[in-house]
Amino acid sequence: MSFVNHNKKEVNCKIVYYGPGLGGKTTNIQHVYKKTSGENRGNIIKLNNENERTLFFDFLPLELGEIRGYKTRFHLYTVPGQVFYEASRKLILRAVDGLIFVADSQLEKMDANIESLEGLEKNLTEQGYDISKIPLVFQWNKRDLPNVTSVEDLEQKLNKWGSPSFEGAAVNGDGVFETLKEVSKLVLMNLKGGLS
Amino acid sequence: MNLQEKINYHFKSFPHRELFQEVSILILTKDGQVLGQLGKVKEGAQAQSLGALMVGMWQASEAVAEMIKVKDNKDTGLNYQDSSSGFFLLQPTEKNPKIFWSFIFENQVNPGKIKNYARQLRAHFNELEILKETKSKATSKEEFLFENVTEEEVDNLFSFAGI
Repeated sequence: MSFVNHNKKEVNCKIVYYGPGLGGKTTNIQHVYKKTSGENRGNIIKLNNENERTLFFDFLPLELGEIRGYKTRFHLYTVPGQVFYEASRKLILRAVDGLIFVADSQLEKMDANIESLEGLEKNLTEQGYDISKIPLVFQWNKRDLPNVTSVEDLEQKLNKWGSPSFEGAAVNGDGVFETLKEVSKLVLMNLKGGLS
Repeated sequence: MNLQEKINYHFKSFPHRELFQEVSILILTKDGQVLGQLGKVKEGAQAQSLGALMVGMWQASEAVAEMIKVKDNKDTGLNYQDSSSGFFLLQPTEKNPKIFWSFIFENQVNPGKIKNYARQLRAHFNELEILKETKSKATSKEEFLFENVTEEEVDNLFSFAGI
């Protein structure tokens, strides 16, 4: 849940990167980490297994600039994508303010995308959230690969809420900040705790 | 006086504060945000990372406890330590149901004593109710904080990355 501290003029928000295994969630926040300076971000925390796959979560605290006098701080999390980490994904979704669904554009990954998205919807519902009311942005990742589903197909099969979406190739940094900026904007506009 | 200043001020009136000279204390919300701190941990990103990990660890432990049906005795703690160094986390109390206290210590002769007085320190702040007051101030208003955020404002937020 976002935390607005009027005394310190700070807002803190939690953004979660969700999506199928090996879809590029960790690559996204690694790119953010690389592009930001030490003053603006903390250490990236990666809780991986011995094969460098995410075991629990990746975490990157990011201090952005100010908006209307409020200092903004975003906590970026990824979930583990592998199917059997469902319990961990549920935990990480607690108190989420905004979501980036990183879909793998490769043709053969469509089923994995659908399964992951259905899992997201179910996990949010179980925690009392309505996916249509949470800031959600899609990233069609891996557009640099040859064998990809068309964007139209991805939109039709995954984006039933008409959420903002961006093409990406996170491995090159393409689309990473565009996606993050969009969800940040939606999260900020969704913040409650109005000004005095 | 902001919350951190209030915490520093009221810590001075805690009779056993000298015990915590070599202890870093983080006061955390249930979602890992750092509300305040005392001790050696640097303010900023390091504290935030510690806060997020500590509370994440608590949530994971709670999920395990639920699965194996361990009964919550309302004063559960979480520890990771050897005989002299480590950390522990105290769960929220009824008086402050959304506040965790974490304590990180090094080279202590008697970590048990630190734990005992940690509970007293938490009780000391619970009586003062300064943490409760902050929570309600921060979340009491239902209207949107920022309406119509512009592209330019978002660009400014990310300008540090040269994007």
